[in-house]
Parts: sequence; structure tokens; C-alpha cells
Amino acid sequence: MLIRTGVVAAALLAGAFVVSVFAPQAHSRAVPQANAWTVDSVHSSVIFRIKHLDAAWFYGRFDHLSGTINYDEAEPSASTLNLEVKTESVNSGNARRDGHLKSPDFFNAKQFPVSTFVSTSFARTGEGVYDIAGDLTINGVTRPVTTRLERTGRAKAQRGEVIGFEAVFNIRRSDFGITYGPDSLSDEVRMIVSIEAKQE
Amino acid sequence: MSPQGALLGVLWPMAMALAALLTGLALRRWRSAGPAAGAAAIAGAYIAAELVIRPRPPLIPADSTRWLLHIAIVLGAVAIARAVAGRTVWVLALTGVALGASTALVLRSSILPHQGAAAGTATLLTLTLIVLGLHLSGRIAARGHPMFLGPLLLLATCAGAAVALGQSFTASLGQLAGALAAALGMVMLMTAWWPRMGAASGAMPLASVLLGLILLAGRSYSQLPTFSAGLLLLATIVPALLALPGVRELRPAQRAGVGLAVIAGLAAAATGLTPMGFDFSPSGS
Repeated sequence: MLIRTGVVAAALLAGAFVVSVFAPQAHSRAVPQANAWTVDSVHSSVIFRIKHLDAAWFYGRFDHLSGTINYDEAEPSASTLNLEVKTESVNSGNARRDGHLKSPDFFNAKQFPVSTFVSTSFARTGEGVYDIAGDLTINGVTRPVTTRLERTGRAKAQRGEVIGFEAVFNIRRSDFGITYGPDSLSDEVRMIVSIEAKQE
Repeated sequence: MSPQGALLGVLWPMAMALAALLTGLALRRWRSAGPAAGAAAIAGAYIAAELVIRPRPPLIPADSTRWLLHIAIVLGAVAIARAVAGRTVWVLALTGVALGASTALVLRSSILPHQGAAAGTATLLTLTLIVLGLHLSGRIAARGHPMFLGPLLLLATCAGAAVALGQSFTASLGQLAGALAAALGMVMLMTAWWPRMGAASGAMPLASVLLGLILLAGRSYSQLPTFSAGLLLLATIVPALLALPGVRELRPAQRAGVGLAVIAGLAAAATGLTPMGFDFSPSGS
């Protein structure tokens, strides 16, 4: 009996230790770059649109967007864009629904506190218009996305020079493992990202 | 989740559990068939529920709650091996490794990145011992009661957990607990009809552990408050407590009445108190 108890205890310890040491951790963070435009969280927006019951569009937002842009107007291909959204900041205008959106059924905010976009290519297609490709990571799943990025303006403010961009693109939430409520919520989600960045 | 989807999330697990139990019944000449069928019923029902309720996870899921599917497969296989091979040292060691690894996999995103090595290891060991305790309580309950009584009491706990998890905004984990309740219902009916089959002795430890891991996942990654999770874990061991000397002398009907009343009280308290533990702090703060 004593031997058996010892074997079970040793096995428990070994199992827990092996998994805790070798299990990969699923947290990634975009690394801020030097000499970049910095996203102004207060004046930037991330809005999502999803169809409810195949009847009406529902709009929600994330209240916290941060990131950096290396924007080279003369040589756009050298530009980069890194964005980070706090999933805990999801805001649908209803606290109980926000609780569900933060749960493992949707954004799994405790396990994946941030969603990120890291650009991989930046190509000019017109005056202030760019095709940008990058890796979008939501819930620990990374998928390539391509979108049109439009420069919406540039101004000298009291706090320094600011620049604005907007991108509108669609994703399939199932690509990121978010499949809850397929009968009531559309798979396709439109993302509207409006960025105001200030020059460092 | 539509009513149709929710119904499928219960019907498929029931069908899988029934298929496993009928297979065990067909093989009843073989002494281990009953306990093995009980374990297969719970594992099969849980796997069916996962595949109906949530998308199939990748081989190495990033989401810790998605490891529950892998865990159900492995623990189901280990439980069947134990039913077939008996309590050999190697099967006990395998059970220990599987339980420890399962606990670590479910909690790895919750504990390990946020605590130091010493504190994380201590927390992990404590929770692993709780999961081991659930496993043992399932065995004690299956041995200490008429075969249908253990599944009945655990079914009530799973139902209470399903409601509490639904209240804490994790509908999918709540549905998985509900699927366990449905599978235990099939085990209860089968053992009431054929007590000598012994399906409960294979089903109860596995169902207790899976329910415990679901509750730990709900506590770690959703808004199931610690005290609600604790009350439901306590409810999970009530069937074993009723099998202890001094209580087990009560008639089965009395034990069922006392057990159901205690479990209902604990589950009601856990469900009723759940909204009080929610974090409704402003988004992004």
C-alpha cells in the first residue's frame, strides 16, 4: 500500500512538473520600435460589426488600442505597423454581455489579454492609400490578413505632429477559433480600425 | 447557441453513453466490461459534447480550456485500462501522471505565468491533490452506495455546476457540465436496471475529475467566483462523504434524500452567489 501511494505521489509530481516546464505559453506582445509614430489610444478606435440573428448589424468596440507606426512616405515599402488591442477592453454597451465576450466563448481575455497585428508588407497603391498585409493574432491564433490602409490626414497640433489612418477589413471569427453561437451570430466580422498617431 | 444546438449538445452525449453502456452489457460475461463501459460512457459522452459544442481544437491548443478534450480522451483510456488491468502499480502510476498532467495543462495559462516558480508549483500541487481527491471520492462513492445512487448524486452536482457556469458567462463550459449530467443519467438508469454491471465504478471517478477540471477552468478563465467553484467542488465529494461509516448505515432512500438536499443547497448557494463575484469594472481599466 505504501509503495503504491508513493508511486502515485511521485507520478503526480512528475506529470505536473513535466507539463509546467515544457508546455508552451501562448502570450505574445508586439515589441515597440524606436523612432516611430506612437498610436494615441485616446483618439484611436477599433470597432467591430457582426450580424445578429441574420437580421441586424451589431457594433461593438475595444476601448484600448496601442502600437507604433514606422511611416516612410518616400519609401512606403519600408513602413511598418504594429498594433495591440487589450481584449479586456471589449465594450458592447452591456456589462453582462461584456462578461460573456471576455470569456473563453469569445475573446478569452484572461488567457489572451492582447490581440495583435504585425505588418509584413506595406505597398502604396495611390495617393495616401496603401495595401498592407500582416499577421493578425486573436486568441493565440495567427492568421494573415490583407487590407487597404488609407491615410486620413496629417496635422500639426499643440502636442506635436499627428497623422491618421483607417483600415476596414473582414475576418472570419471561426479562423480564430471563435465559433460560439453560429445560429445567432455571423461568422464574418467587419473590423474598422481608425488610428491617430503622434510623432515622437 | 440555439435551442437546437443546445439539445444536440445533450442528445449526442446521451447517445454515446448509451452506446458504450450497451456494448458493456453485451460483453457482460467479461468481468471488467461493466466498469470499462462506465468509463467509456463518460469519456465518449464528453468527447461528443466537445465536438458538438466547440470546434475541434488543434493538436496543441493555445487555449487551456481546449485541452479538456485531450484530457477526456487520455483519462478515459486510463480509466478503461484500470478497469481491465486492475489496480496494478503501473496503472496507478499512469493514473497519477495523467491526473497531474491534466491539472497542469488546464491551469498552465492561469497560474504558471503569474506566479513565481515556488508559488506556482505549490498552487499546482495543491490543485493536483484536489483533483486526485475528486478521483478518490468518485471511487469511494461508487463502492459505498447502491450502484444508481452515486451517479444520481453526481448528476445533481453536474446540473448545478452547469447552471453556475452559465451564470458566469461561460456557456460552453456549462454545456459540458450538462453533458456530463446527461451521461451520468444514462449510467444511473443502466445501473438501476442492471446493478451487477458495475458501470458506476468506472464512470464516477472519471466524471468527478472532469467536472472538477471544468470548474477549475471556469474559475481560472471565466468569471466563476472562487467561492462558487469551492462550493461546487464540495458538492462533488458529497457522494463520497455519504459513503463514510456512520452515514452509510442510512437506508438508500434516506442517503439519496440527504445527499440531494445538501447538493441542491450547495449548488443553489454557488449559483445564487455567482453574480456577486463578477468583475464589472469599466472596460480597459
